[in-house]
Parts: sequence; structure tokens; C-alpha cells
Amino acid sequence: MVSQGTAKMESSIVWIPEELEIALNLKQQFGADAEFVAGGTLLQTNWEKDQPIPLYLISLERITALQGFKKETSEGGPMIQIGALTTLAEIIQNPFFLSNLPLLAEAARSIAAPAVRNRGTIGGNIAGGTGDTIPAFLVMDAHISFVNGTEIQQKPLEDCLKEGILQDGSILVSIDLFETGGQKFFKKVGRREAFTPSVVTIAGSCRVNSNKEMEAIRLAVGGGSNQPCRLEACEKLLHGNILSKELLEKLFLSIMEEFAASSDDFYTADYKKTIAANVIVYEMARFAGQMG
Amino acid sequence: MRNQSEQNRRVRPDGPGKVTGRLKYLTDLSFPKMLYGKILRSQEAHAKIVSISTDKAKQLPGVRAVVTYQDIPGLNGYGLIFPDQPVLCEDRVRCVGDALAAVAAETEEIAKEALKYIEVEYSPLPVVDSPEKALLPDAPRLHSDGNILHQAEYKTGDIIKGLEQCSVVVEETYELPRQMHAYMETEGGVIVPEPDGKLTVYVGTQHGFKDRFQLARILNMQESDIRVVSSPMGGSFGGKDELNIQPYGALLALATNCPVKIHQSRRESVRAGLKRHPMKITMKTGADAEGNLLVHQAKIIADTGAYATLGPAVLDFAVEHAPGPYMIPNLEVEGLSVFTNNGVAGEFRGFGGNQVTFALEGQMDRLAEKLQMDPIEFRLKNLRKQDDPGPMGQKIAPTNGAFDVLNAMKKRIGKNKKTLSAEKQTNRGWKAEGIGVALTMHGGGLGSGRIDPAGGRLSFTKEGKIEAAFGFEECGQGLLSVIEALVIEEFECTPEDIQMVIGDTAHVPVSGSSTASRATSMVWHSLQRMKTSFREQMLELAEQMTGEPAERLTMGPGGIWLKEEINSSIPVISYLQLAERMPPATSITVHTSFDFPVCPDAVIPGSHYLYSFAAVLARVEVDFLTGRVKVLGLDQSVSSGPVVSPQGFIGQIEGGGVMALGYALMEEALMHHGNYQTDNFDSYLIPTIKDVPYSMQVEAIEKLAPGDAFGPRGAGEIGTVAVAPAIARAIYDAAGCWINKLPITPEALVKTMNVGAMSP
Repeated sequence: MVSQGTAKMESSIVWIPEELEIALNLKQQFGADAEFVAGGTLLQTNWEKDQPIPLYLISLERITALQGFKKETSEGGPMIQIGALTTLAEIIQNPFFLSNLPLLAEAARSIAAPAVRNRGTIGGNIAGGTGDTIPAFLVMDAHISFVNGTEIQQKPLEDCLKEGILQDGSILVSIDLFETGGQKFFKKVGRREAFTPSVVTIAGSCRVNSNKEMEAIRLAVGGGSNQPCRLEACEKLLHGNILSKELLEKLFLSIMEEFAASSDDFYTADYKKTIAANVIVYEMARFAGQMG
Repeated sequence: MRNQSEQNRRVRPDGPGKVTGRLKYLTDLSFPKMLYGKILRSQEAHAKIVSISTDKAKQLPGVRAVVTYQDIPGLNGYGLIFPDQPVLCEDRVRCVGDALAAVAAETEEIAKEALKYIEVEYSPLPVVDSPEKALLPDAPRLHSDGNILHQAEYKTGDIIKGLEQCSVVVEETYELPRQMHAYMETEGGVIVPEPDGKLTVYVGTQHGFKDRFQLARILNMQESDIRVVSSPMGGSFGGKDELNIQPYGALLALATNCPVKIHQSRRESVRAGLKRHPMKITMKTGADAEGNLLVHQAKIIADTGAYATLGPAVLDFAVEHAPGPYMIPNLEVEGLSVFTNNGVAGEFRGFGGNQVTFALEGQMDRLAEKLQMDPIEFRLKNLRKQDDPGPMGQKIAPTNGAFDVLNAMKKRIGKNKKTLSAEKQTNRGWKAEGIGVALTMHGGGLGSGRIDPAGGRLSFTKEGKIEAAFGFEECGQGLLSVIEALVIEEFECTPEDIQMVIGDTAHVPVSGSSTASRATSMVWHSLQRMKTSFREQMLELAEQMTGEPAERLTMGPGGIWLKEEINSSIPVISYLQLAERMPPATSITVHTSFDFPVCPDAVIPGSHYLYSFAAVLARVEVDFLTGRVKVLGLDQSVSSGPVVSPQGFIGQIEGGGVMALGYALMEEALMHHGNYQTDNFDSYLIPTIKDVPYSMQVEAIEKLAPGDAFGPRGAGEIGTVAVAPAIARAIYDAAGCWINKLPITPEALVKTMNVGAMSP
């Protein structure tokens, strides 16, 4: 890290390619000595804690293939594509996101603080593995377009997480979303009201049909040290059923069982599970029109 | 004759420079040939030092000096009361903040690298990581006199008899955390060797003269050969009264004969800096069926860390304030300050008052609840009256402050038509609001028997300025605004007529430390003592220069005026003209020096005489799903005499309130086996603007008791003291949970409330 008035003993070399292909070639050339960087907001906090700065930094900031966002109509319905370099600030401010993806805008608003959000990218938030937008994307059935070799591939976000795709030298190109409908909620519980690491980040979506049955349920947890994932057993529990007090109680217990939280210096696993269960049960009850 | 609105509009003297970034803090300074210093701190929380070798580090290109204990010419120790903390450790380390060596190099990067080449062999010793462990009979002795730094107690009446008469008794143990000052500017500055072996120390501190004294002792130099330039600082809050990096910079500057800059990173500051004393306070308090307090027993155990610093004084303060503003006939307060290997605890805004007030107010609330009495009425029933003695039975300056602030809060609540009763609204998404009130009294100054000097100087300069010089420091609290406001009020001049000199031992008189809520008060007292003589000399000089008789003249804006013409035409002579025509041999300078007011017949050392009072109204929202607490309102009524600088006053109370909100809800410098777990601001969290209520009402109750000539009291600390207990009581109002431990964690609330989606 460079501080004012000093000279570094060894400076990292920063490459700033304009083409995706060049970035990938550089990574292949330098291997473990090189790391991709965009906004650098997460990486910088690691370096401040004396984690080693790689010899080579390959900046993705000028690569046009990663920029921009759009909505198009395809056979599967309307699709929204968000370029990896889209900043969190853009997501909060641009009417495109506020009208099309309000859940994502809400998630982005909960991350860090204005100055960080001006630099931090949506791609980085996902690629870092712990970003608070990940649970939101999981309930929106997001797919990730990424590239490692020569071709751009597309996979559901959950598969990318499970297979560790973004940790193996792939570049995240865009996040692709298809309309899912239904009601959605997002909640990040932190240690203070703003600019806080997450204790647990929770998102959910569902539809209630005319028979009051729940369908298309997605529940996701993540944030902080929690491995981002869907709570599939809980989703199955609700699917096709009418929400009742008994079902809510079962749901609570199911979340306590399925959410593999871990304790840290500030909160126990039990607390994290309890509040995730509280929030999910509350939101599901609210969606099903059962309040009180 | 104060023009309130004019005062409110006045921009603070250091304001523009600070907000535009023009102002240079001492850590912004650079000098030619300047080197960069770094300090090697201990890897172990407790160990014997087997060997230290600096040879390899010295050989690193760019390294100009490496110093260890062998390079200390004078006393290898510092500390405001006992100099028991080694400057550079020789045979033993007692905490991770202990310093073993310091390096000066051509760049900061090289200095940092050089630290890695200093070889230290440790032989670890068992880490004593709690006062309980330190008090065990077989605990390792951290100092030659054992592990108890200080004991203090106060007893009156008969506890046993008193308990027999009680119909309700509350016994509870309260736990208070280790808080960090979190000043924006970390410790640092530049130490410059001057010709003739002298030294200039440009390092922020709350007490330049004391730093000079301590450094002279360490460096074996004359105090007069050391100049300390100490202001402005980017915050201190008590953390920069004690020495910090100055000795290392000085040793390196002398060793290299170059200016040496040291500026600690945040992580270094966390590791080496002082913290607020964690305390465990057990209180047993009892009242009769009518609600009269009869008995109050308190046992205080403070974790003072590895070295003394101001530990004894903090304990004395906590013991003194344990009964607070309540009249209780049977009292027994015992305090123990215990050495451990947990960093070093020391001076921190509130000074033991925060901890003990949290406990005391918690007792009051629990008793009121048991008695089914309104918490405010219960307090009013037992409250001290104007002429009552202080908390330890000592004579204090008569004051109605306690009643005034509590009554003000009562009125405020009455207006809002809210009641102190639980209110859970399930249709608000599992959230509930609650309110809580707490009260405190806080002594100013260092207390009787302590060396608590004050003083100042007024001069008329050759440039025609009224120069006010004080040995106080501007840490951001608004001292300069205070001096300006008081001088303007006294002499009816304008800001342009004034020059203020602070923060430089070469140019200021001894005023004592900027601490203990004393500076504003002492500036006022100094001016009271100097004004008459200064004014007389100025008017006499004007008479000499103009021929107008002094009785007809008065000081005013821009110059000396005829009394009847003031502000209506032009001065008889401007200050500039007066200075220009002043005979060369003439000078107008008035000094004063005196001691902070203490009780004339004070018996108990450290007891206070002048007190401020505050009542806090907190409004919170508790989220039952997550246990999170949001503070929606934080109002304070403060009685600390006349307000000198309204903006400064509001800043101190609001700022203090926010600092205490952090203490209540989120701040804890977590330690594990003597090591800090929260090493930076990403894990040690302080309030953001979103954690703070949008509007905080600050009410100043300025009236003093008849005959009180002591002027403005201090308001620097009082805004921090009663906030946490008010928040705790508000949480009880909202959620029915009592809080015994700070910071209040959502996890503790969720457990206690035992509310899940399962219970409707």
C-alpha cells in the first residue's frame, strides 16, 4: 500500500487492457502472481490487513465488454443484462434499476457507504464471494455470464458458487436476469445502521396463487462469513402449501436446521440462525396476507 | 451583555481552515532532511525479554538509527502519576502496546521494513487477562507491589441497620466495556533537533508543559531546552494527555540529528493507545416502602491494564460518583483498580463517571419499578437539594442543577404526552418504541489535593492586538471560540482585535491540562482575575496618548471610545494607533496563576467542588425480529452555568451524546488473551450519521445558585455520562428487558426477549 510521502520498496505492476482476451492472456501468462481488480474496494481492505499485494494487477476497468446494462426481449421473456463493471452507485441512482430491479437497488443501498459504492462494482461484489447482492441475485434466479478460455459461458449463479467458478481465474462478464414475478424481500442485518459488515443477509421471493398456495419460492442467505446459498429444503417445505401457523412454525425450525451459520467474535451461530428464521417467517407471513 | 444571535452567527476562528483543508495539523508537517520513525511493539501480551538485537536492522540501507532501552539517557519510564511504563522495554513486556525499539529511516516504508529485522527473543509468561485472575493468590505479579494499582473507598452510616429497614432491595452486577477514543487524527507529529542541543516537539497533546516535564526526565535534558508545540489536534477525548510517540521521536531525532516524523497508523494506535477502563460494578441498593433510599453499596473492579497512567484518579472519580446526586444515609463504596496484561486503560472523557452512572441509574430504575413508582418521581424524591453536600459528604458549591435538569426532562416528556410504560405494537412489523430518562452529576477539575494549576496572560501587542495566551489545547472542542467569546464579551471588542496564543510552551503561560472539563472554566476565571488590571492599563495608556481622562473612556470595537459615544461614531484612538504611539519601553502584560477551585475544607483527596448536571431523554425503537436497537431521539438538559460559546456547547453535548451512543450500542475493543481482536474501524464500529437521531435537542440551563461566582462550569464530558442508562431504560420500556452489560447487543436482547416468530 502506498502512503503519502513514501516510496514503496516494490511496486505492483498494473495492467489496464481494453480487451477481454488480453486480460485473460495476461492472467494465463502470470498465473498466481496476477489478480484481477476492478474497483478494488474489497481487495484494498485485505491489503491493509497485510495480505500480500500480488506482483501483477490486471485492471478490468477499461474493458467495454464488461460495461453497461440493458433490457431486451428474448424468447424466454424480458431479460436484463448488467455488465460486471456497473457500480453499486449506478444501481442505486439510475432509474433503470429503480424501476426494473428495485430489490437489487435495495441490496446495493445496504452495502458500504457512498464513496465506496462509487468505485465498487456489481461484478466485484459477486466475485468476492461474500457480497450482499448475492442473496438478492439468488432469489431473482440470476445467471452469470463468464469467460475463462475463449468462449463466454452462462450458468445459474448457484452453480457458479457451488463450483467455485469465480475463484479460478474466470472473469465475470455480466449478470443476466429473467423476469420472475412475485413478491420479494431483502434484509441485511448489520452491526450498525450503515457502512457495516453483514451479520446475515437474507432475501426471499414467492408467489401466492388464487388458491392461496405458495409457489415459486426462493429463499437465500449469505452476507459476512455466511456461505451464500439457497435454503432448498425450506423452499420445498412451503411449495404448493397454504401458509398456516403450523407451517410457519415448521418453517422456523427448518431454517434453524438448514442455515449453516458459524459463530464469530460478535455473534453466535444460534443468533444468526434465529434472526434469519424470524425475518423469513415474518416476510412469508406478510406475503401470504397473514399478519398479527 | 451577550448578544445571543450574534454569538450564534460567529464562525469559529479555526473553522474555515479546518473545513477547507488549509489548516495544517501537526501530523501534516514536513521539514527538510526529515526522517520517518516506526516503533516496534511487543508480540507478546506478557513475556520476559531474553534478547534484543538491532544489528541487522541497522544495516538495512536507508536506516539511520535504531534505539533500544540502552539509548535512554535519563529515566526509562513515563506516566502522569507514576512513571511505571517503560519507554523502551528492557527485561519484560506487559502488554502488546509495549515498545521495544524504534527506527528512523529515509522513508516510512524502509522504517516499516526495518522493524522486521529487529530480532527479539521472548520467553512467554502466563497472560493475566482479567482482574479476577490478577487477584488470585497465585497470579503472576505484574509489578513489584503486586497486582493492585489502587484502592479507594467511602463509607458512611450503617449498611446492616439500613438494610433491615428496607422494603425493597435491588442487587445487580453491571459490566462496562473497553472503549476506544477513536480520535480522527492518530498520535503523531515531528520532533526537530535544534541548535545547542535543544528540541522542538511538534506533537499533539492535551498538556504541553507536562509533556515537556516528562520528556526532560527521559532525555536528561533541561525542561527549558524542550519546546512543545501541541495544537491543533484532530480530537483527543482524553487519549492524548499521557505521552505517546514523543519519547521515540525525540530519541531518534537526537540520535540522527534530523527531524523525525512518527504518525501511527490506525492499527498501531489501536494497539498502543489508551482505552476506557472496563469495570465490573456490583451494587446493592435499598429503599423503604415510601421510596426513600436508605442503603447503597457499590463494589467497583476496574481493569487498568499493564501500567498506572491515570488509573488511580479514574477509580477515585468512580468511587466519588457512585452515589450520584441522591441523598442516601447509609453508603459503602469500595473500588479496586487492578493490573492485567490487557493493554493500558487511562483517561477517557467521563473518567469513571460513565461506568458508575450506568450502574447507579440502572439501580434507580429497577427500584422504581419494584416500588411501582414513576422513575422520575422516584429520583426527585431522593434528589439532593441546593445546599446539600456532595456525594461523599463533602461541601460543594451550592447548586440546584440536579433538580433543574430533571424537572426540565419531566416537562419535556409531559409535553410529548408519552408515558414511561411498555408499548408493544405488533402491527408495526414486530417493532416497539420506548423512552427512558437518566440523570448524572459530574465534578470538574482534578479534585482536591491534586496539582491543578491554572493561569493565563493578557497583553497588548505592538501590532495593536489584544493578545490572550493560555496553556490550553485546541483538540476540536472549540477552545479558541471560547477564548474569543470571553475576550469579546469582556472588552466589547471584535474578533479582529484579538490574537490568541495557545499550544506552544515557548509562548504560553502554565494553565494546567486541557482535561476534566476545566478549560472553559479556567479561561473565564483567568479573565476575571486579569480584566481589571488590563483594562486599567489600557485606559491609562489611552489617557496618556489622547488627553482624555481614563474615567470617561472604555474599551470597545476597534479601539478606545468615549463611554457615551461607544458604537455611535468612531473610537477616540484605535488599538493600532495606540500601539504605534506607545512609548517603546511601555508594555501592557497581565499574568495570573491560581489553582482550580476546590472545597476549602476538603478532606477526601480527589473530591470535587464544582459540578455539572445532565438529564437525558432517550427514545428507541427495538426490532423484535433481529434484536436491533435504533435510537430515534436523544435529548439532553444540561446545567453547567453560563454558556460561553453556544455552538461549542451544542457540539460538546451532541458530540458527547453520539460518543455515548456508540458506547451503549456498539463499541467494544475486544481483547483475547491480551491481544486486540478489533484492530481497525471495520471491526471496532463507531456510530455513523445514520445511527444518530436526526434531531437531538440540547437545552442549557444557565442559572446558578444565588451568590455563585464561579462562572461557567465545564461541559466537555457531561454529555457522555447519562446517555447509556437512558437508552437502557428506553429498551426496558419498549421490550421489557433489563440491560446489565454494555455494549447492548441484539443477541442479548433476542435471548432475553425470547420472541421468535413462534410467539405471536
